[in-house]
Amino acid sequence: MELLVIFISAAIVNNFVLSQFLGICPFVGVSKRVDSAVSMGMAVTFVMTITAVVTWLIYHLLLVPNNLEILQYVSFILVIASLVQLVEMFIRKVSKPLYDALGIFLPLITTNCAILGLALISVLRDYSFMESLIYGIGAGAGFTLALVIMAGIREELELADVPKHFQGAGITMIIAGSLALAFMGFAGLI
Amino acid sequence: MAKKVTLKEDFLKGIWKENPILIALLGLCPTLAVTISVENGLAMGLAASFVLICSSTLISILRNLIPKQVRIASFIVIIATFVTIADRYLAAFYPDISKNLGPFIPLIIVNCMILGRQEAFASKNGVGRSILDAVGMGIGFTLVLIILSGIRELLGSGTLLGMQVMWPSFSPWMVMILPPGAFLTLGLMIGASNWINDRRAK
Amino acid sequence: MNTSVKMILVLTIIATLSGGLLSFWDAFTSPKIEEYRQKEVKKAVKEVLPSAENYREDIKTAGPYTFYLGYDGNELIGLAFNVKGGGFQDIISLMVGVTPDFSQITGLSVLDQKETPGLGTKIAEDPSRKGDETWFTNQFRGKSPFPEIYYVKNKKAEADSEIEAISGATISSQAVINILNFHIARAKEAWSNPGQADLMQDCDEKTPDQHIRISEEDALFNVLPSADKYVKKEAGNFKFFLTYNENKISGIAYRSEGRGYEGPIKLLIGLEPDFETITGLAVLEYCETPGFGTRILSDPSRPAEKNWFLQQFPGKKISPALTLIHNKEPGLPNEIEAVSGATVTSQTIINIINTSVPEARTAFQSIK
Repeated sequence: MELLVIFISAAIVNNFVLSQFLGICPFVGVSKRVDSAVSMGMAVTFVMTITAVVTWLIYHLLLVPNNLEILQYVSFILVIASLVQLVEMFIRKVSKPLYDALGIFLPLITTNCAILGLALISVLRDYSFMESLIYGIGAGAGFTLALVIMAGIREELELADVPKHFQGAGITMIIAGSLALAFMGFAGLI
Repeated sequence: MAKKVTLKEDFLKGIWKENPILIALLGLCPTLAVTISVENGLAMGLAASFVLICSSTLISILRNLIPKQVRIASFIVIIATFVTIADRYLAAFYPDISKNLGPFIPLIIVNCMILGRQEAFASKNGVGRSILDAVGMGIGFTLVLIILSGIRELLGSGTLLGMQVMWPSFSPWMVMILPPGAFLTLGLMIGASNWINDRRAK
Repeated sequence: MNTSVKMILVLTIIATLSGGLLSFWDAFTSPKIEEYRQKEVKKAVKEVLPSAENYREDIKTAGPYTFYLGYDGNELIGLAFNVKGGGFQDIISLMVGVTPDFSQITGLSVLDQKETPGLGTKIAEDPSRKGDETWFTNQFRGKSPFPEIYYVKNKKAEADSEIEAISGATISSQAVINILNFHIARAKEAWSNPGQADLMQDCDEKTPDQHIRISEEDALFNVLPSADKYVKKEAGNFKFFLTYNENKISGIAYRSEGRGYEGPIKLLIGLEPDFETITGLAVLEYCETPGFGTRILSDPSRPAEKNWFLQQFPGKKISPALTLIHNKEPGLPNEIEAVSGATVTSQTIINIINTSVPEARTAFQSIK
């Protein structure tokens, strides 16, 4: 039950993007089309889940017992960078078109604050292994959700008349604001 | 003389023309998250600037020694080290601010602005120019944070730097210190800066 | 130089320098950070435990809870512990203070919360009530946590377990109440029965003069009348010592133990055959704090009857349960007066008796 609460919290109530402000860069960059949004979302969820597991193991089994908590950030980011590298190679082998579609954004997952943020918050809240894992999956789901909704809206927006200076990032931010406002309605769900 | 102009440009471009947040759209996560009050925005700006300046300096010094294949990994380790220093420093000497900023100080590591500057500039230019570039970018980043947090704190809490500024019967616009307010304000600021740039170009 | 080697070399050097720099920085900043953390905890503990003269603190762990003990001189006057739970937005962390018997809340302090600004945040500070900003947490003082706390809206809370919720933030208010209801009962459980895995020394680690042991024979003599002849019988986990008068059982004694403040306390409990009335109590093994817990055996403040605590037991009744009272003469047959300055040890002894007697009674049935 606790686990379900963590999942729903990360995915909806305290949505990673719209409530916790994590993962904004790709949110603005990759949300133009629904299909690339879905692919990005899934890649991020995959990386997040594995990151949650690996960083938990490293922190609790390696750093803490040896009093090396100060190396937390350095070790986490190295883990993430390597994981993204592996995922990149994996996707390239499995589906070249997908690899091309994601382009530069794949290696940029490394600098996706959502991934590192996930690992850090998990440590901050002292989550157990299972809680960490569920948190990772929930966060990925929330990120994908926000990304896909935004992409859907922006696809429609291409037909609308957006004021010149707001085109691109400006209008995306404003839409995000409305989405965030809407998502606030979920508070109190859990 | 050409070099002098370029040096000045190195410094100034970070403040407006290539402002990391408004123009390059980098480092948006902390921008939205911590700008609830000017105090927090300022702290974040200074911390990020510290990391940027130190990293740029070191990486520029080492730029010819780091093999191309491992440059990203090296940059990341160096950046992460300075971020840890900044984070620990805040936790030890300014614990309240550290608590408010939460996980966003360590998230400076993945602030695309910093990694971006290393990749685009510091690894390819001399120390002097890299420092100017870093300081300029840092100032540009911090200024936007201050303006954004100024607007949000003023309208959302009625205060600036903790001191009551708005008239007593002012009913704060709660939404400003909540996520929607952050997005909306930043969106408006980006639109405004685009408009200003357009006017200046004419 | 070979590129691969250079790559590895450079990375290793950078990593090593990073590690070195950070260890130094860690040594420099860690003490300050820890100091700040201690200060925060101390502040919160002081806020929730009633202020007293000669305030001294101690820390004990039992189960998942870490208790901060507040003393007034030698008297344990309250326990403070940290509890957490989900709020409206994020986790709420509280420091709650209770009386040593957990019957009353002595104070509440919000350590950390990220509730809705202007609404839920009022649980920590309510700027709309000038001069009384912490009214929400203040009202918990003196309230009784059992059977459970509940809230009322838009009127002053009167009953013992009633709390006035913050209007517009009932969910945050309820969250605080839920956290307390959940944890206080469990903390009480943990405090009364600290498990084997807790960080308490065993008596053997104490110096001989702190480790008191009395032989069973000597103890039996004190505990069962006319115990010049006894028969041993085993049943369940118990080893009973029975005395007979003409062919009827006149008294039963058995051993039981629990964990006191510093280590195990082993008792020999003597009862009448009906398992209702105590005939006597003796301590078999014991290593409590000299000057405090040791007062159970020998209380210097009552020179004429130094072992007055144990002397209370003959004739006391077990049902419904032995109750510990403080600073006054026992009135009811199931009341025992605690030793001032050794309330924890006193309570442990009461708990050992209350828990073991029903079990012993059941086990004894199988013998007859």
